[in-house]
Amino acid sequence: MNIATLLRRYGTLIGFALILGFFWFNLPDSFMTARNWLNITQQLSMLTVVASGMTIVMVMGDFDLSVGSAASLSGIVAGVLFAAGYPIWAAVGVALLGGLVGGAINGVLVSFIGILPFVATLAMLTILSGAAFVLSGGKTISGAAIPADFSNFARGGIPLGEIGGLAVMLPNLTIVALAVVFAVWVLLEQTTFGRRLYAIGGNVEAAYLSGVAVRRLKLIAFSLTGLSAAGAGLMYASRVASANPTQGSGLMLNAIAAVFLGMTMSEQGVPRILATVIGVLILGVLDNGLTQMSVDSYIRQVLVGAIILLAVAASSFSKRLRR
Amino acid sequence: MGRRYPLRGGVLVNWRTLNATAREALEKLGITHIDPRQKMARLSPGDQMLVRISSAFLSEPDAPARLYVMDEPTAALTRDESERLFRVLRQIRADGGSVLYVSHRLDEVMALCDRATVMRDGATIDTGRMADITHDDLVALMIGRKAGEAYPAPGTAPTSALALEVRGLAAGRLQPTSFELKRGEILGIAGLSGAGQRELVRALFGDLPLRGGSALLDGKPYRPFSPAAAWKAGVAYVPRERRSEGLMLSRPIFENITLAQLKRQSLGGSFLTPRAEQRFATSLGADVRLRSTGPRQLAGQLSGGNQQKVVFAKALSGNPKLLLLDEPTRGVDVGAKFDIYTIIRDMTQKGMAVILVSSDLPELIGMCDRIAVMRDGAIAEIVTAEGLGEDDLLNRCYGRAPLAA
Repeated sequence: MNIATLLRRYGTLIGFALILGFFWFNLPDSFMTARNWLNITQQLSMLTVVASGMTIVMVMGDFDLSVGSAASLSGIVAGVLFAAGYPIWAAVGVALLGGLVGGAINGVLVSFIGILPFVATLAMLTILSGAAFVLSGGKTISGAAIPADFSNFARGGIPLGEIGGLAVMLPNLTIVALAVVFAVWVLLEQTTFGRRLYAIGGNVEAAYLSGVAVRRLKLIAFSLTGLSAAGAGLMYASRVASANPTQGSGLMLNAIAAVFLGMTMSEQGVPRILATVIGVLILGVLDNGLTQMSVDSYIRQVLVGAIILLAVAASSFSKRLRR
Repeated sequence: MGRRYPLRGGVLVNWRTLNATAREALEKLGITHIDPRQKMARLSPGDQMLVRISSAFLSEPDAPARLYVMDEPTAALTRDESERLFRVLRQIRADGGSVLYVSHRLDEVMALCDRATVMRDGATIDTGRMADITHDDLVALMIGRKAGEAYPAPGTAPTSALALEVRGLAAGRLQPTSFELKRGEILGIAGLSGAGQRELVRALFGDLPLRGGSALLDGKPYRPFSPAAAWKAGVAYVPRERRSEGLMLSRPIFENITLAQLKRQSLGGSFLTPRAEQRFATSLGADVRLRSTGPRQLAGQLSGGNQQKVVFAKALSGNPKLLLLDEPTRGVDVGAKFDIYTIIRDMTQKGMAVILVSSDLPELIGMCDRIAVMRDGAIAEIVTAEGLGEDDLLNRCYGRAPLAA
């Protein structure tokens, strides 16, 4: 393997290592600590779940712009049901089901009616976001309306012992995110379902002519993406013990960015779930480190955007060289 | 495309002049049936190719092109359309222009070119004047060994058991069509481009909604409503456009080969078993004489002929009862062509029934037991292939009476 191939395949990973080294050097006391890393994983758990769901549709060459507003809506749905006195399991169940149905509507629009994913999911973004405002009356649902058991979930975790006299635990939200990543990994990499999704992404016409039920699979894939968005919305609501009609809005662009970062690690430029996780980690570590270095949040946005462009540009440039 | 638009008043596009220029370019090739204002997507593949060729002949008046590079321009053309193109190319030569003509159709190269260069496996093998070389020499250079027969000899005659009975099948532009096909028989479909061949195989494969009619496959009712249902019933399909319809070029060979039989090539229909899949794909690859670095090589890295063998391996992966072939040797080099003919013959020996759509008349005559001639969306007649002359078959495609002997 020559250096060019090495750089092409591991360029993004090397970049990630450089970023880690940079923060380790500049934040020697606080960056490479178990506490900080557990904190990062908890902060990233929602994005991880949404990006995992996004990977499922992006494997087929589609994408879903409505995940952010789906996450907001699911938090609001749960909050409204909590306020109306429904038990936790019922509220959570209805919110997740709502995400599944919203995703299924995306799937029907894209595969059965044949609307471009960009247009269909953009319209859904607006509809779901509007619905969240209507349901909540534009207000944040918080305080006594949110049951303590629900918000305690995000604060809890599995104790890992003590470091430096302080109790350290593996947060529940991190565990949920890991479980979702594992489930999506099994689905995409180990099942015929996943293989068929990759076939659709490879050549939808050839897949259809080879007997792949393209429409049904697209419907299922979009439903799963909607479900993951709803799950992330609930995780967020639990973490901040409140529900707000705009709280999921930052998730969509970051999730797509994470999948794109992951795609730069693949020879064929296809999304892989574990690569998506690396993409999420790159975004999260940048955010965490730059915040600790007291970099202004607007400058942070510019830097993160520039790094995404750099990674994707380097990857497509090296692919062009190979031709 | 690629030219300055004629302008009106310096800003607006002069559409009238533009259309007139386009019409003129088409007429140079003797094409009068295409309206320049028609959308490309609505044209047949052959007509699309004619438009692309015409656009190459439309040069700026102050700087006429001196060199034309054409890569398989006749792949989608009928014989008449090709002849018209050749007349224009000869005119260019007479006017002092040059043509670099890439083709796998040797008769065209023999008839048209002054010199030829043979390439194989990415290297130049030989260059020579056409006057000093024979057809067999060319074939030998291309496949690297001495050429034998162009088509493998037929084996035993087909059995009398019927594989397929079609009664009044109609779909899209396909008029009600009836025919029978025996096990182990190869039925050719001939006709001018767009006479309904593609609709016939697509209807049989469940890719076109049926308007009416019925079919029996091995005596059982067969009503395909999707390609998935067709594969399940034991019907396999090699589509016309290998790259856009046949293969996932960015995926490994084995994923391409097992895709149609993934249910059987997995644990309980759900969990992948990549090693078993690769073994299965390797053995099918050997059956079709696939040349690759292994089952994990990407399909897009193979030559045209080997890509087509991957499509064949996929088609054969479920031991189908009926194999539908749409231009299976289009864009395939001579060596791989013979391999593909051999595969088709071997399969018929095992009782598989084959429908072969082709615009290559010698191929139809050399491979088929019977040939159905299609005209205007319907089968006009079915003739025995043995002893059939090429001119005779062509005349039948045009609906002209065979010449009295």
